[in-house]
Amino acid sequence: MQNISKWWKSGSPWIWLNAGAVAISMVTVIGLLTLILVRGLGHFWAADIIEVRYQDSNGAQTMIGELIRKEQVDLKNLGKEASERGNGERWLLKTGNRELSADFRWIEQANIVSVSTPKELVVLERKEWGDFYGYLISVSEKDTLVADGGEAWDEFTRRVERVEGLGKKTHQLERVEMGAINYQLEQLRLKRRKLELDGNDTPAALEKINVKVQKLGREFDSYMVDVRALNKEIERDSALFQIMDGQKVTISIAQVVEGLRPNSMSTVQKIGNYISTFVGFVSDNPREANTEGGVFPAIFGTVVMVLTMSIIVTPFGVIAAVYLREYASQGIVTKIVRIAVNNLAGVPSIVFGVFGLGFFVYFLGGSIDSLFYPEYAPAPYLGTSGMMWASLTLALLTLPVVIVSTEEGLTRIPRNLREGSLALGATKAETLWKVVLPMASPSIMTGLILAVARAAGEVAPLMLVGVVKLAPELPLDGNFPFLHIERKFMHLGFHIYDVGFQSPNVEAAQPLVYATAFLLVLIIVILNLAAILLRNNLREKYRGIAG
Amino acid sequence: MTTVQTPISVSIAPMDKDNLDIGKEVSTFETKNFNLFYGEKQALHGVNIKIPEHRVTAFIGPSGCGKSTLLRSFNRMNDLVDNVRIEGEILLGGKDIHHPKVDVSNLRRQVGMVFQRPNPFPKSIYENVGYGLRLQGVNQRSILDDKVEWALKGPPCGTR
Ligand SMILES: Nc1ncnc2c1ncn2[C@@H]1O[C@H](COP(=O)(O)OP(=O)(O)O)[C@@H](O)[C@H]1O
Ligand SMILES: [Mg+2]
Repeated sequence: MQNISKWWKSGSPWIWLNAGAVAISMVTVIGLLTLILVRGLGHFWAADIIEVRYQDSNGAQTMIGELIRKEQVDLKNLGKEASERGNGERWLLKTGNRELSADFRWIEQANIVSVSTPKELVVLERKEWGDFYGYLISVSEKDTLVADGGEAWDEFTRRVERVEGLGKKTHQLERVEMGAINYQLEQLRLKRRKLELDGNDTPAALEKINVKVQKLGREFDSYMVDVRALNKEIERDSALFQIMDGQKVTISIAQVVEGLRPNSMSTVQKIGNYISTFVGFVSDNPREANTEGGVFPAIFGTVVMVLTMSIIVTPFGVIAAVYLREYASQGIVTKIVRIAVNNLAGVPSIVFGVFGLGFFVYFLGGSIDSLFYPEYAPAPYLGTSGMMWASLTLALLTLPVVIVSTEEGLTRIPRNLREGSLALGATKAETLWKVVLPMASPSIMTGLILAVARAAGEVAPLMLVGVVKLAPELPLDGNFPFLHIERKFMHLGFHIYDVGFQSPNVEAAQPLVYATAFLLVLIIVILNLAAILLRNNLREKYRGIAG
Repeated sequence: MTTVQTPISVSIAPMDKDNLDIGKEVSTFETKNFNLFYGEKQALHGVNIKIPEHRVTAFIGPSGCGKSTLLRSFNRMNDLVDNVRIEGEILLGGKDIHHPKVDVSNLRRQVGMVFQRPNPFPKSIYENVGYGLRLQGVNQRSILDDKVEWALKGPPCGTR
């Protein structure tokens, strides 16, 4: 009894409690990151493909696929009688070939006769229908056989590469060249509409536009001819495969993104393949309702949105803080304003989303449209959700953090420094600009760091004010004025939600969810590190003066 | 409680004669029944003093007698202290420095002050020395260079 009370008074329970809390936090964070890393990054590894001979009540069959995971189950749940067997193991096999049969299946370990990894097994990543597994039999060019047997694989990879090169060319033509023409045509249409609305549609002006439109139209048509020719070339080759039930399937090489024989690849080759797959994931556009392909537009959208938000929130927050701290008389009103600002930080983000939609998008955007952009009607220009409104909404959401930390920075500037400047005849504004704000800049950066961390991870309000599942165009591109603030954009956070919960194929989507989550965390970390480095530089600069 | 800067010396820049209209043997600063209160507390009691031109004047007195307060009053640094109230007047070249038309920044540019504690700005030494000039709108590099060099080699810092 005495001992316990002594132990209690000594304070060690507190130390244990604190240490425990820290340990739990550490374990949670590390566990979270590890889970995301393992689940997400495992996805890009070219795992071996197994061929399973399987025997159950339906008879014997062969299955080809990738082993996703093994699980212990009570066999009762598998429709067996309880007395028959106790616990059993079952495997989840990804057998692909979604257009032909189920692409994921559970098999019972007890029914497996044999498992092998034949070197010739091929896995294809395709533009549609997900992965394909099978044995390559032959390669044909326009229905004439060009290679089979031992030479088929080399011929096949050559032709896949050829199609890839052609695909890049068509992409360049379609998205960049023809995209630019489309953009210009749209601008011309708007210009004509504006002339009409303003009553300036003189025949001469209209004729000028028409000439341009016709010239662009001719360019467009000539590109179109090129694209058709390229597409014909792309469609030329095909390959014949044998799949697991013995059936023979013809696959157009145009459909193949990448063909691999993972069972015959060395570890070094697999690492090389891993890196290129990962790079592809980061730099490609999504396919198949976002469940395949890359996430580049989402990464891009996230970064551009966060940067735009920072550019908006910093001046607003700093100006507000300077006014509150330096100019406003410190009384009941400033106190109320401060409380209001702090409470703003506690408002759920979806509320900001609703506000953004109602105020920014419909009211502000709608008014700007009807005042300045009547030529866009009936389609809205700024009166619909987009990059700018999303950034503004998030700026509003993160404003309190910037205000609070800037104010804190301002209060920390020693008074004698201000007096020194004032005594030399500087006005208050000059003192602020030349002495106070530079010294408060590390605190402003701290606010920005917190703002970025919050904004980059926010999803709910964005769904209302600008983020979409699939945006056809990036918010930043080569067409003047380059940053298109009115465009809708993709976002990693929303992408996670969309792929994970809105996709028809949950098993296929799961690794992508983890990989995307990993990227989101990585981007937030990178943005934050950049801001922290900047802040440390500023701190170093003003060290010893600010105390 | 933040501490205010305590001046140890005040210097008055040569004045624009047309503007300030001083004759010979005239004092630069003159205070008339000057009282200063920090809130309820009175720090200066009816100060009447004349400070002659072109001479060094020193204030001597026990700690807390109001030397710094008086000096700070000469370029209205006490305006920056909350709850300060004054009575009486201070004339610079015959003109009341508390007159509403007086530009405080201008006054402070004219009445230089050296503080007890050095407080460099978060800038290079060059910019620190040139700060006052820049505030007066001098941005020409050659002038700044000359003045800064003069100030750094000159009376306060080196021998001449
Ligand atoms: N900012 C201030 N607020 C309130 N009282 C002050 C302030 N500055 C000075 N005092 C008071 O005014 C009196 C005069 O101070 P000061 O002018 O600093 O004296 P000295 O410089 O002669 O030592 C002191 O009693 C001091 O406590
Ligand atoms: Mg003193």
